[in-house]
Amino acid sequence: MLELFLSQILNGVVIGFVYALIALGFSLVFGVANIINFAQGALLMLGAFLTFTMVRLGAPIAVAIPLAIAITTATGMLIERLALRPLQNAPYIAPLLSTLAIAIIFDAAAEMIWTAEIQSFPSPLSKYVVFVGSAYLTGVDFLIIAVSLSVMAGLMLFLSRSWMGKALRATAQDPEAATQMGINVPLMRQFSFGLAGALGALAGVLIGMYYMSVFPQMGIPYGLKGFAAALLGGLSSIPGAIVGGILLGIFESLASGYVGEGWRDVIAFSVLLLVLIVRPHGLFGNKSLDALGGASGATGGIPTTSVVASMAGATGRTKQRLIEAPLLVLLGVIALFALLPALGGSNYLLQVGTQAAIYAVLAVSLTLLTGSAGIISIGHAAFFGVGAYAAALAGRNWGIPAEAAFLLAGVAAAVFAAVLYWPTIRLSGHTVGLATLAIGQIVYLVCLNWVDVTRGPMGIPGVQRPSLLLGGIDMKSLAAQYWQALVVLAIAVTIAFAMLNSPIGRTWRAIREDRLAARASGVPVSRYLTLVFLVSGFLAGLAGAQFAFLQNFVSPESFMIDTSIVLISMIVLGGLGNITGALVGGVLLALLPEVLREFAQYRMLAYGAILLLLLRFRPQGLAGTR
Amino acid sequence: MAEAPKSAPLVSLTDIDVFYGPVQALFGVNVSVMPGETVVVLGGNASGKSTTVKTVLGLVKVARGDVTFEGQRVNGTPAYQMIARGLGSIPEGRRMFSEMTVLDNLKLGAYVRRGEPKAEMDAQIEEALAMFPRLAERRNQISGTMSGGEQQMLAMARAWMRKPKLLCIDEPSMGLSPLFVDQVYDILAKWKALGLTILMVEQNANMALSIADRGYVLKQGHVSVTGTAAELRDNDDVRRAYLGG
Amino acid sequence: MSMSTPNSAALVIDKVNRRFGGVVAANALDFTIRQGEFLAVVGPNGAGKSTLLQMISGVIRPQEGEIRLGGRRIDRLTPEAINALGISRTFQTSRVFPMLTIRDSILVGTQVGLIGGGRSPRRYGPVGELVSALFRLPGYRASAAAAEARAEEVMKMFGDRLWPRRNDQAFSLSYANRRRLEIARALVQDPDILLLDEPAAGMNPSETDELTEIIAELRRSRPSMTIVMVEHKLQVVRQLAERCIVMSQGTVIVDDTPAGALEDPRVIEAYLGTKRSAAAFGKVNDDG
Repeated sequence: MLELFLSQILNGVVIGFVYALIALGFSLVFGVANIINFAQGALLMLGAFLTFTMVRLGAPIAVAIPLAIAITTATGMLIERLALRPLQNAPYIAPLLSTLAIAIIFDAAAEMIWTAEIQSFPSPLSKYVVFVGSAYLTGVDFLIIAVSLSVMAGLMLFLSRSWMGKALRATAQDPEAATQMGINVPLMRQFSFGLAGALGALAGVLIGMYYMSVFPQMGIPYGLKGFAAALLGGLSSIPGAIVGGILLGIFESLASGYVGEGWRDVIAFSVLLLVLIVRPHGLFGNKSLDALGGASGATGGIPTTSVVASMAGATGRTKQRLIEAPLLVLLGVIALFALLPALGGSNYLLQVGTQAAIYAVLAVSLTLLTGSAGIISIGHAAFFGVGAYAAALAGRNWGIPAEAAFLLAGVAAAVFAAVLYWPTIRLSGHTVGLATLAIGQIVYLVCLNWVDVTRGPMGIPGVQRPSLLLGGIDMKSLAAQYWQALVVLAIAVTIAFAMLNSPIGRTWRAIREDRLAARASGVPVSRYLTLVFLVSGFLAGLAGAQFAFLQNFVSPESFMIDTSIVLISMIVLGGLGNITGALVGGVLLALLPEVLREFAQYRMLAYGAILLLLLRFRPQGLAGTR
Repeated sequence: MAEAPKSAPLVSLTDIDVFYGPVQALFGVNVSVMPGETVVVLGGNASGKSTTVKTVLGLVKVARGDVTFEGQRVNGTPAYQMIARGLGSIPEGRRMFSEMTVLDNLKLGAYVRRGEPKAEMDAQIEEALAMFPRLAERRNQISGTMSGGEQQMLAMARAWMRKPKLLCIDEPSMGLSPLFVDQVYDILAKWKALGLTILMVEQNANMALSIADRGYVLKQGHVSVTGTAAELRDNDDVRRAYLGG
Repeated sequence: MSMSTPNSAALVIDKVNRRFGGVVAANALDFTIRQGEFLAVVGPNGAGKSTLLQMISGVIRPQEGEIRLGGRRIDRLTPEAINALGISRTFQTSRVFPMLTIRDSILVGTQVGLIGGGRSPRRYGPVGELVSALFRLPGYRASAAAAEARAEEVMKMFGDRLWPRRNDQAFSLSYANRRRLEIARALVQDPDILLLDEPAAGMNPSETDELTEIIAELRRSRPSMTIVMVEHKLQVVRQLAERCIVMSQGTVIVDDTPAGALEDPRVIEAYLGTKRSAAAFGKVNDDG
């Protein structure tokens, strides 16, 4: 008993050092460039796979590792240059989503190059073993501790002694003052990305050696763990990162030892969430010094907390054209689509049409939350999933008729959304993105691991379709499912329309635009954010139920982060906060993989690229941000 | 300008327009500073006086007009390059690197001279600290924990570390007690006597005009009055700019 | 006039301290703002005037001391809770909602009344409001229409500055119009206490006069409303305020009528520089 405990603690400490390395990269970029770099995990994966490939091609591992680190460093700097620097005056949401798009592109590219399989990673030192009582440490464990400690010591010296290090710290503390000392601030930002790349690549190699394997999707979980460690340790200090990393390592190691290996990541992401909830402000420094400024009274840009407004306030913003169809037009178009089965649409077309309608509902649901209320949700698939599972379980386990399951799915997802996103009410901007990403991952992992209820990766088959109220018509046919999906879409559009054009929608936008001004005007922010979670969750839950009925089957893989990112691409493409835009973006991107069937394996690559290009060239989307 | 000195201006702004988004902050502003001169830009809040100095520093985008430094057109040159070319800055609100020590702040002041020998740098740090005895006592203190007056001293010493050809100062007396204001101006007078060229923005018009050679008064983004310090002292517009007459 | 009314809703600033790092923004601030009073707060940049308004409105918390409204401690409340007590404000750096139209921005100020805060007769819970908005129920629609009428009335107070532009987005406005918009957003709430942070900054003389006239008219029509105004343009202070506090380095150095305060040599000194500097001119500046 004690042996297990001791050996879990040891394991936790060792992997904790790796987390500390990732955390340092995260903190550096966060401090210097003032952004949460979601591509940090992708760089980690790149470093690991470059090493793996070079070794496989015959390079000695001692050569491969430094080379891989060098290439990843350069890649990090290139990402800053190509995907972030052009976005300086773009909406605040753009740089965040841009690093996310990069992460997706890297993931997808890695799967194409190296397949989605787990690859075995060279780990020459793992054969040396030292026993500590009945627990043991391998050579890799010692290597991890030694390398991490020396890298951290080196980094500490670099930051405190060298000109470059001092300039980096100065940029983090006050970029405007740093500029006025002659420091090239954009270069420092780029440099912080390079350093984060180097630290990430090193961490990737060490993880590869530790588990003796690597896989293309490793980026996002390890990136998130780095964020968790950084936040846990209190950002911006090297000892803090070490403490945070080790604590996180121990937590999840104990979880995997006592609860089950599958729960390791659930614990890690829960820790991340918990820290964000408990200490959201203390972690990010005190910005209230702004209150002292005197002469800036009527100069400079407009202050705003908006994720859709430009960071530079009003600077350079021009009037955009907003395309918004009236409700009756939208419902009319949906009604026209209802004619498809009568016009002899094939089963394939109906299947695709139903999928598109489901995605359109999801896009409408997300655009309320992210577009109107400004809560960047990178975990929207969670509510979709909760709805789908609720509908599936209601029929299968609880004997609830499918008709009632529909409503139940919406309500369950609404309640889930309100409960899960409640902690994010105090957060804003990019931090919300981090929290919602963690929530999305947690829900996915729970579906995967809570085998007693969800049957885990096997999923739930045999979901019964509802027969609904329409007496004579057999609702179990595909055409009926298609109509049903259109009805759900019409309901979603009507609800969203009513909300956005009511005082509630106006209040959501005000909260998005300037939360402080809204609060000072008496707006009870938490009440209105709870409302948007409820409405958005309800709609996503309906979409989930419709999805379950269409497929007759639900399994966790439908609700992975990929789905969340596709949804974000849809609403950015259409134009944030705009229902017409959400419908256009949702349908277009849902059809994309069908149109380009022969390129289906490039699907995620395409979504990533579309998102990246949109953010760069048309952040207001096709129909305009409302 | 009234009496043109013989030499060419060290820095000059010609017909400058600057916008913040849709709002125009400067309208055809002309300002120049001759080598060795101390020039003050006066004006009420939101008159564009800070923007004038920011234009010289390359911190704002010039929509129209020319900025020249040492006879060369420098429109669009980023601020960090302007500093490398020889500008020094004491920013508004002091802008400490507030989690760093006094010494580290001073070193960063000499960032563009980082190639020079360490011994020389150390000597200059001692020189700067000798100029500001209050800082000498606090060399290892974290700068954010110091009082406003001490922070202003540090901001000045930090700019001195640059050995600038032209020192740009934005509101050096903001929020300071009279005692500290006196100290700030004692030092500025000393620097002026050493031949330093100074362009400053100041609310404390009496103090600024006590050391300035010439001045400009800005009003809603236009230069409304310009003249020697003596002329401006007697000018009602100056009083009006602040007291809203 | 209202200086003699009972001080049931007096705003008491009780030995308040606030530092930012080593910088002192409020140093033992201690005074009472009587109900219905028009108080101007003046002083050089960095004196702590805005910090005072930030603390009253709950945006910044004092580190020591208390702020009380009508005997109730408010310095630990959130900005929205303080607003619900009848305190509305504008910001030094105008905080408009950039993407919202003028009309919508002002209507945001009515939201708390619409759902039952402040003086409104009807009260909506979150679900009640959701259902009412979804089905456009008559009661809710009537309240919304009343709010719109109120917003229109307030916009028209500013002549043709805001009303004809009601469908323009706030980011496209001039500084002066952003200030008007903020004031309108505060006024639409019909507050008991109005906090104005440099309302005339960025306005030219005629715009300043226009604003002064609007505030004076407001004063005539709502004499019971307390107004606390931070303002650099001293002629505005002179024309509007009944009492004037001069701040410097986080403390009150003069507390007098505007005429008295603005004649005080310490005020001239705080704005234009110390006597020592005046002496450095070779002659003493008259302060007529």
